Amino acid sequence: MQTHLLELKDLTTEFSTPDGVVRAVDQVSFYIDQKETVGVVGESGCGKSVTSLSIMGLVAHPGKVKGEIRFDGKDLTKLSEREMRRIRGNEISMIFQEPMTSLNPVYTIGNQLCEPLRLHQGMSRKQAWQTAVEYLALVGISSPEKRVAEYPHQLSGGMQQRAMIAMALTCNPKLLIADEPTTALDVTIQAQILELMKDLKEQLSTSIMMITHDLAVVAEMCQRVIVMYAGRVVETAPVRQIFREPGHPYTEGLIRSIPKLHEKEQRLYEIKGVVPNPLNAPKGCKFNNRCEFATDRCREAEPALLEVAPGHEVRCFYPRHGKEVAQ
Amino acid sequence: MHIYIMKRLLQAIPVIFLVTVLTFSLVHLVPGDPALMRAGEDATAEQVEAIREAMGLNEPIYKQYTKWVSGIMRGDMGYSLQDGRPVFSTLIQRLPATMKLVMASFIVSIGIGVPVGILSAVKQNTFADSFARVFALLGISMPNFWMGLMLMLIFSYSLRMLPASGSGTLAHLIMPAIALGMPGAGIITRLTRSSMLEVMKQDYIRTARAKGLRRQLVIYKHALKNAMLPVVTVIGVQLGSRLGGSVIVESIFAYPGIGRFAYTRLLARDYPMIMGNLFIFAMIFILINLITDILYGFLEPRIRYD
Amino acid sequence: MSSSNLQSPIPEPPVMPAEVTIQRSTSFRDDALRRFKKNPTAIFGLVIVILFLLLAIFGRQLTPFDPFAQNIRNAHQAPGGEHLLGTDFFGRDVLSRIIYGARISLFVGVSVVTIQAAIGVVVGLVAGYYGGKIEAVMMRLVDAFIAFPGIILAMAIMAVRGQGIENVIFALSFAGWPTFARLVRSEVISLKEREYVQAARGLGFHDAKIMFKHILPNCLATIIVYATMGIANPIIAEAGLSFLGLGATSEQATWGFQMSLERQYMRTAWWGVTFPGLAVMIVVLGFNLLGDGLRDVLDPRMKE
Repeated sequence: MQTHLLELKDLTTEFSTPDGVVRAVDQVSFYIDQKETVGVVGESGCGKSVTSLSIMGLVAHPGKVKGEIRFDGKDLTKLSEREMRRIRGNEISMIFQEPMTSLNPVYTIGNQLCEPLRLHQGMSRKQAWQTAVEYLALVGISSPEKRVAEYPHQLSGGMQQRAMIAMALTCNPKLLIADEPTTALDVTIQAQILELMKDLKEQLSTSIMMITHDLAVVAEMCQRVIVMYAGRVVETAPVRQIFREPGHPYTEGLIRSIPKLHEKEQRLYEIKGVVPNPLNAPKGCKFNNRCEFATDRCREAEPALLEVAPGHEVRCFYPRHGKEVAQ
Repeated sequence: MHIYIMKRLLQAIPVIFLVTVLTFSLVHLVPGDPALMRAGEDATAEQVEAIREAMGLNEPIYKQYTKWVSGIMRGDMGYSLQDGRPVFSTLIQRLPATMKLVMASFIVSIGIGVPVGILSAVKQNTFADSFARVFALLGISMPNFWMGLMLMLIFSYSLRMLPASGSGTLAHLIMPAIALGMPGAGIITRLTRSSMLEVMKQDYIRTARAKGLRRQLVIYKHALKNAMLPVVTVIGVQLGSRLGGSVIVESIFAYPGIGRFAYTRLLARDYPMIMGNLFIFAMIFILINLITDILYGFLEPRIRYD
Repeated sequence: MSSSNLQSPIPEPPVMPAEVTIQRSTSFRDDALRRFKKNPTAIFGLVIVILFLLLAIFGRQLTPFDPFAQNIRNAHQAPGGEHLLGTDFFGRDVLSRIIYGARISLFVGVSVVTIQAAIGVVVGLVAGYYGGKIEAVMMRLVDAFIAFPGIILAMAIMAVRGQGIENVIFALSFAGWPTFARLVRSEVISLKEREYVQAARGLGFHDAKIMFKHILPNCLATIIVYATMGIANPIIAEAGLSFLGLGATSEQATWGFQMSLERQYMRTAWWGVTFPGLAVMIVVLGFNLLGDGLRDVLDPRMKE
């Protein structure tokens, strides 16, 4: 068996709150291979962002991370804070949803870009500045020598996100976690940013974990998809497979709710209800209160994540496509 | 940046004008007869009339005002009713001592408030945090003159460590500076704490952590500069209450500054002195707030380029 | 800030539980009351304030001795013994003098803040609502008022008007209202763009009606919180003025006045200044704690 770049095994992240323990991530297992782009999809509150913070080791008090996070042969959960710092921004880096608020308003772009270079690559101030300019050019920012000395608010939203991407890539990370990188941007800018990420991925051979609620982004960017619901992985499959034959009713709902240009649907489909409160999630399958196919069995027991086709796993008693497997 | 500074300067002009109007009307329009107050209850009608004449109170009010303002522009604020000495130079002479005390009190406030506030925020909900919060609240709630008296009681009378009054050495400055600076230390502690907590929640802190920066660097580089913005503003605003507080604290410690002098002249109803003093304090306040505004511009790039 | 808590390095409890939130916010009043009860420091503040209010109301019935009865032979008795907090230079019971003084202190605090708030609300409403030149003029006036150290402004007014608590109230009200004006103005500016205000305007309501019926009620929480904390300021200021001999008269015998009398004997009779000052501190602490608690309850987002 080949070794994966990143492999999560039963990752569980809990927060103790005054009202009880909240399991934001519940026994999540998946992997990402080298040079692979994997989409992690779900509604807000499904645990996808907490998963990424768990990988980065940035879950703060009162959060607790259990399980295994294998990255490049090491279990990240076992590393000390000091060892973890050497990985963050160096081997794994991250870009976020809101470029405007994710850049520090009181320091120049250059100053912020130089930090990982000086920290992880031990560059001199001058070298780092030079490299920062090069990376700004790489992400398609015009007149980078000028932009590098500017403050974040002087850049447009799209430019800011480009700068964030440049900052994440400065140390040639093996894995880039992109947490809704285009959600806060205008549609035209979104397309540009996605295009840029695709280009850079080819050039730099970085793996990408693409966190999004937008399946259109997944179709554009990813090879494989992991669908999460209420802290659980409910389906994982190659991208083409999942659009053609979604197994989980939830995935099917997500796909049906993508606006399509060529089909004249009167109303956009929407999945009824909301993600359950983790403190009183329904018994059995967590999706049963929103699922139009739910039976008594779904309300009694929770199905396991089982393979319905090669590389395609579904957590459902009655998968919509693929063979029904004995649970 | 130049535009920003110019804008602040222009805004100050009408404020300075209104300050002169207020200072003047305080003494001339507030119900109560300054001449009568100055003369005292036992004075004869002639004595009161003489004072009225000396103060120029018999002229029409607008004339009195224009005379006073045109004097100010020439650096002439009139003469003391008590000893006939020029108001402006008498007050200016005593200003450095007070500014020294006020600066020392800010060193106390900032030197205590900022580190304790940071500690309190970084160690949120620990014993250290509770301790810092109680400390801040006590600081805010303590009247500065009472604090001064208590310090004097302990360090001068009981322990005989510090001189109870006078000026000249650093030892003379310690207790007045603490008495004057402690309430501000409480305010700055609370402000630093809440501001740090707010900043630590921001996305760019998460970004900094995701880069692999050390926690200390995240706190002292990325969080602190942002968290200090409201603190800078509050330091400017606090100056007013500092100058006011100096009147009481200087009186207690017999510290020879403008505050204690103002107090003695207030008791003596030396009106030209009172007006001069009010005006000078207001001008210092406006000036220092201009400076903090400009300083804010340097700390906060978003303002600088507007 | 726009980003969710989920992504923060210091996560709040993740995933806002929809149902629970809805249950909780069924009644703002119940919710506020519950939060207040959970806040021990706020309760502590409330207890202090109520205690001093009781002292203020029933003070004369509660004093162990006549606060004005002089007995020189009894001068400067140390605390403990018959006089719990000792006696002053005239042999008067310090505790009784403190209890007596509570009434004036609280009266000054409450009335000054009420007047300040009233002036500040009118100025702030008008400036914020009309904007433009009216606002510019009014706010420059506010700036000019703020430029004077409040206590010196008050001292100057006291020097012109003479001693007495009524004058103290006048002088302190004169000095503190601009803060309220700034506070109300910034609230009004953010409120006047709201739909219901726009709607009221669209319906052609009178400006005054919109200001007082539609905008003011929505600023009340902020005003109440600030006023509660603001009571501390005139209490300290009155003590300071009286301490300097520019405040209360001897018949009014406030805490500050008592301290100014006893100050010269501090070396031999430390209790004379210590206990009245302590009383000032405790009551001020009470209002500060209560104000903090109210802020958390009425508007958790509000910052200092």
